[in-house]
Amino acid sequence: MRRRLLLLVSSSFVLLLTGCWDQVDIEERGFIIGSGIDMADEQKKQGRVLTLTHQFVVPAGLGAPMQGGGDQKAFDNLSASGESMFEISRKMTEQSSKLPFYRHEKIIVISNEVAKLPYLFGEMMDIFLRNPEMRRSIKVAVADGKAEDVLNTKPESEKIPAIYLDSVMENSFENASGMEPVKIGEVHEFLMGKMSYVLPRIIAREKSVESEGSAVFQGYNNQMIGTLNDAETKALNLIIGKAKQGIINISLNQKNITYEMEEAKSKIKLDTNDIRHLDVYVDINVSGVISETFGTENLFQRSTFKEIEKHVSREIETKAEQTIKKAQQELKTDIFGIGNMLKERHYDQWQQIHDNWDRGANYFSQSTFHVNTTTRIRTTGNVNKSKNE
Amino acid sequence: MGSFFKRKKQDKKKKQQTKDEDFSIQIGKNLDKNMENIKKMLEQPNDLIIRKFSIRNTNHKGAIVCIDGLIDTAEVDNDILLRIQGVTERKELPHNTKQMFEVIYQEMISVSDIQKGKTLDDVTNAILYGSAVFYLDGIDEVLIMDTKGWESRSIEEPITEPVIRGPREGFVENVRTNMVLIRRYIRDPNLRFKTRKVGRRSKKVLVVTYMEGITHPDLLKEINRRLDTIDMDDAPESGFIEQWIEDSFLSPFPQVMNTERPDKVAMGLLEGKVAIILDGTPMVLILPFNIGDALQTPEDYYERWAIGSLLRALRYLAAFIAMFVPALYIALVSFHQGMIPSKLAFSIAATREGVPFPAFVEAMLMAVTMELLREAGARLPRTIGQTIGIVGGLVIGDAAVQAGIVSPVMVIVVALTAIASFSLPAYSVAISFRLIRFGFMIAAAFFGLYGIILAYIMVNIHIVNLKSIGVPYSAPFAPSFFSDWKDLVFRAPIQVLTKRPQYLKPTDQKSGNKGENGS
Amino acid sequence: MKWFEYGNEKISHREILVAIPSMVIAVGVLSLPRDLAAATVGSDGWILLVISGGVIVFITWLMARLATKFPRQSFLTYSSKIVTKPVAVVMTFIFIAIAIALAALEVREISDISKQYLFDRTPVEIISLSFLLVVVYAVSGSRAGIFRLNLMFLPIILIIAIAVFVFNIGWFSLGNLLPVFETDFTGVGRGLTTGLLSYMGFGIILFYTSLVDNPAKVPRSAVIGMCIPVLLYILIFITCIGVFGNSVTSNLIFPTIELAKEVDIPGGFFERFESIFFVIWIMAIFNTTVMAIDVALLALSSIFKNKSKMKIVCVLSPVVYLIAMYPEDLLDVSALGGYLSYFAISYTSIVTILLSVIAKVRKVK
Repeated sequence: MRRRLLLLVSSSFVLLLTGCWDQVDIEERGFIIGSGIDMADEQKKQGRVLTLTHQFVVPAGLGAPMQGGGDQKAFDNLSASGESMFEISRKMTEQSSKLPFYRHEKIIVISNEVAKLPYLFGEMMDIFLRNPEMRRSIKVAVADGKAEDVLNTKPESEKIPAIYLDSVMENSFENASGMEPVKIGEVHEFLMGKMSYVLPRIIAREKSVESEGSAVFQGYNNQMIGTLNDAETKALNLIIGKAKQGIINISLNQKNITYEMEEAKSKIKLDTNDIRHLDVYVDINVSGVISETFGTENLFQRSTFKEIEKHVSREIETKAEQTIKKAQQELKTDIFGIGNMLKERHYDQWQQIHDNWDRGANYFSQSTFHVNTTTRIRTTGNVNKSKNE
Repeated sequence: MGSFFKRKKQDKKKKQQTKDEDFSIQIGKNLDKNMENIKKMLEQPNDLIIRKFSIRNTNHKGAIVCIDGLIDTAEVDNDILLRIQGVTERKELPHNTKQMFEVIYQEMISVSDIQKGKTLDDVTNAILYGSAVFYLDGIDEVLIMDTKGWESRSIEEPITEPVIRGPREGFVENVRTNMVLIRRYIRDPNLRFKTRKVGRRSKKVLVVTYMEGITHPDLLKEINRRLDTIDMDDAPESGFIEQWIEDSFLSPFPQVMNTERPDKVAMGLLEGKVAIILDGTPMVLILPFNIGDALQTPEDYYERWAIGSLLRALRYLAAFIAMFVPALYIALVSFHQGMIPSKLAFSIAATREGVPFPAFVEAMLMAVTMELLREAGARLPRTIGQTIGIVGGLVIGDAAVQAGIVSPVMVIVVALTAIASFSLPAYSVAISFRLIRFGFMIAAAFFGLYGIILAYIMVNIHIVNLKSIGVPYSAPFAPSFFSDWKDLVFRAPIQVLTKRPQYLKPTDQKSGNKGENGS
Repeated sequence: MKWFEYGNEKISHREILVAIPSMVIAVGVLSLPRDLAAATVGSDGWILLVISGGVIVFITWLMARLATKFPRQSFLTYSSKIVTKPVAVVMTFIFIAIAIALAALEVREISDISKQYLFDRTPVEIISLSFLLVVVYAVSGSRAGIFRLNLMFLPIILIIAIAVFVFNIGWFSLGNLLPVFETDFTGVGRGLTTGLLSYMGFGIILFYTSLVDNPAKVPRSAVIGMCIPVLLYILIFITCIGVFGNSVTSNLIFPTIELAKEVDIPGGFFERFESIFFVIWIMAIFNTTVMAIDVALLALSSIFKNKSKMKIVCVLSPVVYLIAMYPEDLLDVSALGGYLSYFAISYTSIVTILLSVIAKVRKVK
């Protein structure tokens, strides 16, 4: 008994003597909420000089409940230049009054310029994956222009641009059939898998940020080789089955009808008889409602339903085919993840061709896509007709 | 632990030696001489009543000795004195003193509890306990009649354990009344009350209560063995007994439950537990005790099972909050800021901007203040107690935040902790949880979450090694008695609870009707 | 039915059931998916886990059978009967060495991982020391207490592991599991070894069975107990592959913790589930360490009969600490872990099989 007591006392003493190395109070942390990577204005002869911008949160500016907000800015962007990310981060510590703290990082913005250089993007991501402080759910986006400008927008509704950006991207995917935000964990998968991929693209306006289409990256060198506009991104989402809500406009008897997608599914089948000329069957299944019509058709009729459905299907197919054409001929990049499917389902054949899939001999461009769409109208809304002829 | 009891045994030997020196003078035949002896022994206190008289129609002389205030005067007057003096209707009274004594004993006195005594020791003990003693000249024996009747508190609602639904009776200071209260709950011939005396000087009555045929005999044996070792001048409160017989006095956890509620005792007895009633205190001990009992109240059973289960679960949550929340606050705010949701983290950072202390000091400051407030509230008269609450709430809550000494989130944390710890049913458990909380806070201050988990593991190590009267403290959990789990964190419907707690190894296992039918 | 029956040092077969998973589940599973994914293609690793699990379960059963043939006899006693006393003593000493090394490894790993995920500047020495002190506190208590600790912690550990799985269902993509059955033979060999090594620790049955009051039921409990880690490992591995894909999993240092990192608690009560997960996992590692040291203690006190338990603990704990501090970096630690598990698994299996065979041949009872 006494010996156990002694042990207890001595152990507690050891604990007391240790001190607290890691104790840093919350107000001493400099929360980094977003980061931007740009090419530096002044470049060296050898190697590339990058500018890293960190957006620090200034909690006092957020308006504590007791003190009242005041006019203080809620964020503080610090930039530094250097060759490696880590070096720049250290430089930044010298500028900042607080300890940089990455655990609340929400978004990384890469400038167009950086993304367009081969290999650079992959190299930049390393520190964000390696640092245990970083979470794997940080969103990654490509800025059309400078990343710093994106982080410098002054939105009306949010006090911190990075949080605003975060919700804009989330919202554009959920409600406007935009690109699904890509997390850095997924980027890790892309980088490891050497498959081509797309990242969301954002454009900085004066007081807002817009999510605009997507940036296409070639898998083997992580180079951004082109962009898809909004419509093409939508079509891409439909093909790979990631589309959420969205609208499709068709015209029936020269009058506009707006069809609102509520659910979209897709199934891709591969016919690998000739691996070098692959047949890809894309089956898109869409269901939704008619949300607006300018015409006066009797919607409450099987034939009208069928007619509208046919139009919607054709519209979707056209768009999908356009996008496929762009990917195959202009970009020559497998943005649909067909390569990945090959790897998953036809591993042996994939092993033979994976070096020539969307580069080299580019079998991707030579494959044929068959898009088939089925559309269903669930309801026509509250009324059948809103006006008579 | 072994050495601890060895020490007690040695003490017991000493006790026996002192007992030999006690007053045990035989009562003489001479009445006057006897009276002298009593007076001498008690040094003639002015509350000693000696009423000498002669029995009518005879020349027998007698006396009644008692202590004023301890007896029921009316009873002594009407049932004893009047009976002996007013024997007018009887013509023949024996002249033989011996026969006379027997007649008085057998026929005249109408007191139900009457005994014969032979020594002065018997007499003094009896009168100090409220009996009246009858002396007859020429006889070396006395009659000791139970005429207790002192002022005592009436049965009231228990103050420390109020319930919303359930009986409102609480124990009182009188051991007899308390026994009656228990008997009224269990009208079973197997209910046993074993009386013993504790306190070398105070000679308090201590009653060990149990159910014959349910309680495991070894449990009883162990409790009696431990009670035998008690050697104190006085046991003013059952807490003395508790501290003497508990398994580990180093543990922060109570190993014996105390309660004011007879229904709780009755329930415990029927589970196979043992209760100890001490005269002079309304707090009855129930043992053994374990971690599951700590968070139960009889009310869990009075309410319907879903509600009872919810209350139980709520209490486990409260225990968690009471122990961990301040420590978690420290760990999150000064170590793992990443774990706080972003927006909350920023707002905590903003509110802490002006606070000069690290989170640990801040938390300690508030926790100690809270304890002070609680203590002040408990000690002050009830009317002023409320004022303390208001002052505390205003000063600590509002002003401290305004002055920038603590952050508002800290106030919430402390308030939450306080509320949670007050919602624990047993005061002694709540207080030990609060004690442990400080340990967690210190651990969190040094190692953050890592410290908390190490401290938690240490508490667990302690609990699994702790026993209450030989029963593992962690009993229904580990060692696991799965059939007891029906009545642990959740309370199953009454119909399902057909077995007594298995960890107590009751000799009669079935408690429900279904059980009796063998299903 | 004695009153103190269950308060004493005897344990029941149920406690063995809990002790085995508590012993086996430790740091290994945190990095297991990495090694397994590196060796295999797609999600093939789980098949190897099942096969190696089956082998281990069989050896466990064999071991329990061997030990139950000699109820209430220590390993030293019955192995002396089978293969003479000197050999038995040597064998026991090797077991002790394995147990000590295992404890040291756990202590070291826990500090390394804590440093990675919880701390920044706190020195490894202090983290390990504080952990080891808690372990010593547990070991110096009663042995029954250790089993009760297992009983109390194991459910929490399993719940947190299942929580990681459940919260990750949203990120799970079935495509990541494909392709199946594409691993080549070298991969299968490597994967099988990895699988086998991850089940280190089941040797405790040889020692703890002597404390069981109803040994006849031990083999069944041991087998059920051993199935728990097998199932848990498969679950964690498949979740890792499903969430990260094979190539990412094989490049994460601690895929299981990264898995917890992916979790977003609905309601946003707190973030960073991996900290919670790892902190809870400390309990698993604690259980393993405590039992490793306790087995060493049990074996040592069967050799040195008149030495008090506390004396042995006082000698043993500094040794564990020194071994734990010996490796210099991450690679050293993982190399030590590799050698140790390799040696421990093969040694334990060989000893079990040999003893069983010899006992059968010589008809020792």
